Amino acid sequence: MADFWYLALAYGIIWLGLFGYLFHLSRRARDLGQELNVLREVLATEGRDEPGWEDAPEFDEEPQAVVRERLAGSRPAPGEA
Amino acid sequence: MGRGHRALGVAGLTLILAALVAVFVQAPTERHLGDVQRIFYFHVACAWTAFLSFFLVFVGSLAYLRTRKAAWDALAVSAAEIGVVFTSIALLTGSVWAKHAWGTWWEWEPRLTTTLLLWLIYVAYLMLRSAIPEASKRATFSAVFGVVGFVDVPIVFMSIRWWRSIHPAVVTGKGMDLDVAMYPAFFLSLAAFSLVFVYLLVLRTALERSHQQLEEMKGQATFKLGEEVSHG
Repeated sequence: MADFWYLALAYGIIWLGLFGYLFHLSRRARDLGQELNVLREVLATEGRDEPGWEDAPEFDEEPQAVVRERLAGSRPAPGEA
Repeated sequence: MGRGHRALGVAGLTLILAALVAVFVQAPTERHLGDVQRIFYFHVACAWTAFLSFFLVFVGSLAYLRTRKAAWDALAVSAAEIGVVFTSIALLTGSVWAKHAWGTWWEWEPRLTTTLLLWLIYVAYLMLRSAIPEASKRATFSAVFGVVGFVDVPIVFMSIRWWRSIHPAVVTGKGMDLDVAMYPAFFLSLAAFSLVFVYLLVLRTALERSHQQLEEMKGQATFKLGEEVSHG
């Protein structure tokens, strides 16, 4: 019976490690895809006279922080306001 | 990810299932260790995959230092991360086996100690990367680390021959020290984990390339905003 527990523990570690890592990768891929889409949108928006541009970040703001705010929904993307 | 990658995943999963059948149904029960010996097949496969990963870190790092192409850096960091995952699994499963075979979870003997050192080297590699914000500097420093760190891989492999070790040796100077009836389970496990490794590597490298693209775009966005502020 003790044999069974050692075996179950070892194979549990293997599956937990493999599927845990796979799950972690898929979450990272999803987050990165979202961030890339928002950034593409920001870069595609050219002139400041477009609606919502007045809400654009100041130069000294970190673009990454701005993207995160947009993803969180606390700052609307240019043109959405 | 395309169709090819999905097919690779399906093939990897199929081989894993086949290996599981071979390990639990076909392979004979070892006389002294009993069923716990069945940990051995996937434990060795994990260690093999970790070595393969760190070899690719070495290749990717050398290629980056020669060409300065970001794709090589992406390959190196992806392989390092996967290598750390497989080394962790190999260390933990080995510890479970040690508890049954030696009566202790850990023994400071050459194979275990050098493997722990290997794990620490590549964890340090990943930590180093996260500590350097500038992309080209990060890639160069970690490439040098990736080349130097690989030195420990042959040491881990040879440790049981160079020093007195209680760790069992599968590959000896005279060939394989394994019952022939265990070969199918052993080689199927190696093939299955190698395929799973390729699947994970393709996925992780694509992720890293997207991350590099994102960093580049952030740089462009900063430049664009800077230009507009200076003109306006």
